[in-house]
Amino acid sequence: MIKKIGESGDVKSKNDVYVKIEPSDKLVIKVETPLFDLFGEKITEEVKEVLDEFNIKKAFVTVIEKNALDFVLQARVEDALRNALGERDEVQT
Amino acid sequence: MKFRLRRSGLYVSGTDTKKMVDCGVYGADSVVLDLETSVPTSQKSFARILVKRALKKVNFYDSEVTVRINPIETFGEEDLHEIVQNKLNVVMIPEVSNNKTIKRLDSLLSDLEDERSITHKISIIPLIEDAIGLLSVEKIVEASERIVALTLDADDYLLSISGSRTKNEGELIYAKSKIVSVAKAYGCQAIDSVFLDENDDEGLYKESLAAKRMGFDGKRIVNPNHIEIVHRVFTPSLESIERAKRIMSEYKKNPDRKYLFLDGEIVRKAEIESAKRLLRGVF
Amino acid sequence: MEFVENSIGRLVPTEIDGRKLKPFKGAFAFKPKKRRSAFALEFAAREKLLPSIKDAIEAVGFEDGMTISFHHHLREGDYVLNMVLDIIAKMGFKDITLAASSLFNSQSEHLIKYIKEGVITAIEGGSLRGKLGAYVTTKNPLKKPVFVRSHGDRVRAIKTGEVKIDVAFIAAPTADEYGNCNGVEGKSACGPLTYSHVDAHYADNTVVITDNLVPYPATPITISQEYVDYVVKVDSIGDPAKIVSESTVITKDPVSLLIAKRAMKLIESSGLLKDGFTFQAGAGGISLAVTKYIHDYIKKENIVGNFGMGGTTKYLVKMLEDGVMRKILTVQAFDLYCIKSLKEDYRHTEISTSLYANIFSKGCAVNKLDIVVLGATEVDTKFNVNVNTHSDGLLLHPTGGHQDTAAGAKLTIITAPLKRGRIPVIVEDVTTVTTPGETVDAVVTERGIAINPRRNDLLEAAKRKKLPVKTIEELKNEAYKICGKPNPPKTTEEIIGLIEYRDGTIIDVVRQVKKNTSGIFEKII
Repeated sequence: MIKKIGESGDVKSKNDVYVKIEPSDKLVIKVETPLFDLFGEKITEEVKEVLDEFNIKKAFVTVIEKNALDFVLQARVEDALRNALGERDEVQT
Repeated sequence: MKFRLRRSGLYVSGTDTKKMVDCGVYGADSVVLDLETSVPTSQKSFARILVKRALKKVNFYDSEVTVRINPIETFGEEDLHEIVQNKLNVVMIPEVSNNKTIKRLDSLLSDLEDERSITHKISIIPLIEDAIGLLSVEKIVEASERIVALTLDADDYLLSISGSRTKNEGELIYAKSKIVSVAKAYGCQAIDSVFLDENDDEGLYKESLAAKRMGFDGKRIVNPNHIEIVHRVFTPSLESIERAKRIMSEYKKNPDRKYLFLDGEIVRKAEIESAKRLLRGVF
Repeated sequence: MEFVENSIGRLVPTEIDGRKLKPFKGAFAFKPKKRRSAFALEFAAREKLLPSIKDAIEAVGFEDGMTISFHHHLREGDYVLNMVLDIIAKMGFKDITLAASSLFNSQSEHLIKYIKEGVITAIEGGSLRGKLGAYVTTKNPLKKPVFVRSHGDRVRAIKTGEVKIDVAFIAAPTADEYGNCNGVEGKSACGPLTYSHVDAHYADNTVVITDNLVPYPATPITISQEYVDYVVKVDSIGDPAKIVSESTVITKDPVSLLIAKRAMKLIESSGLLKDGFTFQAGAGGISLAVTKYIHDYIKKENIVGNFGMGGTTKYLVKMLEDGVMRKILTVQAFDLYCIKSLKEDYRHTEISTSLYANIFSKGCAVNKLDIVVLGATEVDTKFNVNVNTHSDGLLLHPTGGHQDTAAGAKLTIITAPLKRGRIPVIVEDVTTVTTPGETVDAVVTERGIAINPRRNDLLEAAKRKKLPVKTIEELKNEAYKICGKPNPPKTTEEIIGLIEYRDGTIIDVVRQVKKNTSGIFEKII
C-alpha cells in the first residue's frame, strides 16, 4: 500500500526523469514530456508496467521526463514507488 | 574458471542515466557499473535499481559486465539481492581486508545463483584497500574459486597507511608487486588501479606502461577515449603470441617430458607457465 | 489542393498560390535548358551614400508586398535584419516576403512579432530555426508555405526568377561609398560575402549597410559597385562575439569520437585518399574530428589534397598551412582563424554560392568533391536523410549545402549517433526527406556502419578492412529496440513548408504540427 509520497530524480536533469508517487483512490498517471506525441502512450505503459510488477492499482503518478530511455524511466518509477511503500526509511546518512 | 582479457575496465557511475546505455559500444574488455564511490549515499537505492534494470535492457556487446557493489558491511548485501541476474559476469567488491568477506560473498552468490537459476558462476574481483588486506591477500585468494583477478585501490590504500601519491608511484611498489605476485601464483590476473584524469592521455600511457612492466594485465579507466591507449599497452605483442603458440605446441607433444627444447634452447618452467596464461587470455 | 506522389513516395502539391510546382523525379533527373536570365540595367553616376536606412527604403520606392533579402554570414550576431524590419514596420509597410538565405535564433522574436502584425506574410528560402520554426510549424501564420532551399537551390530560384527580390539588404563588414564591399575587414568581419552575390546581381535594388566605411575603393571587391544602389553607414552591423567563434573545438564526447574514428576508417577503405583528393566536412563536432583525422593520416602518408571546401574552420585552414592541402574554397567562415587565412593567404578563396552548388550553371564546385561528411537528424532504411525537421515534425533547420554536396561528391558519408536520448535517428521513414537516398553512400553510427546497397564496391572494401558493417535494417531495429518506435507527429492537413530539391522540384512537405507536451492517463478502479 502506498503510505506516503515517494519521489525520485531531479526536475532539472537532462536524459533523466522526475517521478512523484502519491496515494490516491484511483489510478492516474500524469506525463509531461517534450516527446509526448512520439512516446506519450509508451511512457504511460512503461509506468504502468512497474506499478503492475508491485501490484499497485491505485496511485497518483507524476512523471516529468526529459528524453530518457525506458529503463531509466522505470528505475525512477520503481525507486519512487519503493519509497512510497516505505522501503527507504532505514537508510542512515 | 573462464579466462578472458581484462586490459580495460571502463567505469560508469550507477547514477549515470546518459552514459550507461552506450558503455558497451567502445569495445572495452569490461564495463564496471559502480554502486560505490561514484554514488552518493542518498542515491544508492536508485543506483542499484537502475543497474538492475540496465543489466536487463542494455546491450553491452562483447564487454564483460562487472558491478562494483558496496562493502558487505554497509550496502553490499542489498546490492547483491537487487542486481544478481544472468547478464552479470563479475562482482567487484571493495574494502576486502580478510577472507571472511570473500567467503560470505561466495556463499551469497551461490544462494542467489540457485534461487534465480543463473546459468553460470559469477566471478569475483576483490579490491585491496588497506595494509591488512594486503597482508591477507593470499588467504583472500584462497577463500573462493570465483576470484579471477586482484586489484588495488591506490588512493584508499595510501590513505590507510598515511602515505601520499606521487607521479612516479614509488610509494606503491610494494603493494603493487605483492598483488601481482599473489595473483599470478594463484592463476589470477592483476589489474592496476583506476586512472581518473580524463584529459591526461600522456599520464595514462606512462602509468599503464609502468603497470605492464610490473606484470599487471590491465587497468581501470573512466574515459572511453582512453581504451585505445590501454589496449595498445596491455595487448600482448604478436611476437610473444607466436612464441607462446610454438612453446605450447611443443609442450603438448609430450607434457611429461622433463625438458622442453625450442630452437635448441631449454624453455624454462616460468616461460611455459607464462605461455599457458597468455594463450588462455587471447581469443 | 491537388497532390501527386513523387519518385520517393512522398505526396507533394502540384500548385501553391498560383505557382505550378514540379514533383521530385530523382537526384539527377532534371536537365535545365541552356538560357541565361538577364537583369535590369541602369545608370548609376549618382551619389549612393544615404544618411539612414529609412532614407534608403524611401529611395528605392519601397511598397507593400515587396520581397526583401539578407545574407546570413553574421549568423547569431546579426543586427541588420532586425534593424531593417523594425524600420519597415515602423514606416507602416505590410505583406512583405522575406527571402533571407537563412534565419537565426537572435531574429526569432522580431520575426514572430512582425508575422503576427502582418508585416511579414511569407518566407522564401533558407529555413526557420528555433522559436520561429516552432511557431510557424505549429501556428501556420503565413499566407504561403515556407520554401526551404539548399544553398545551390536558392541561387537557382533567384536566377530563374522564381524568387524575385525587390530589395536586397547586404550587411557589409567593409564598404566604400560607391557600394564595393567585402567581409574580411572591419570590426564585424565575417569572412566571405558569398550568399549575397546572387542577391546583388538579380535584385531590383541593392542597399549596402556597413559599420566600416572606407575610402574608395574598398578592396577586396567581393560585391561590386556595379550592382549597388545605395550605401548606409550604421554604428554596428553585428556582435563580433556571435558572428564567428573565437575558435572551434573538436568534440570530446566519446560517442562522437567513436563515430568520427569509424568514419575515418571507412574513408581510408574507400581508396579515395590519394594525392589530389578533395573533401568537405561540416563544422559540427564529429566533422571537425574527421577533418583532424584526415589531416593526421595524409601527413603521415605524404598525401596532398587538391582542395578542401566549407563551412571552413581552423582545422581545414591548418591543413593548408601544414602543406597537406593545396587550396581552400570557402562559402562560409566559422572562426577568426579562417577569416585571417582568407584575407592573407592567396590559396584560400571565397566562392559564390552559385559557383559552389548551383546546378543551373556550367558546373559547380560540389561536382569536384571526392568525399563529404555530413550530419542528420534522421536517416531511414532507404538512406533518405532528414536535416530540416526533428522527429516531432517541427521545421527547425536549414538544408544548407546538404543536398548539393551529397549529389556532387563521390563518397557521401552521413555521421550520426544511432539515437539522441530516446529519439531514434535511424528510422523506417524519415519525418521529412531533405536529401534522397540515391545520393547517400554510407551511414556511420556508434553501433555500426550501413552502406547503401548501390555501393557494392564500398561494401566489399569495408568488409575487407573488418569494419563493423551492418545493414540499415539492422541499425533501425537496434534503434527501435533501444528507444521504442515513436509515433509520427500529429499534424493537420495544412502545409506550412515545402522542401525543394536543388533542381527546384518538391521533394517533401512539412505539415502543421499539433504539438502536445503533456497528457493524463486516468483509470478509475
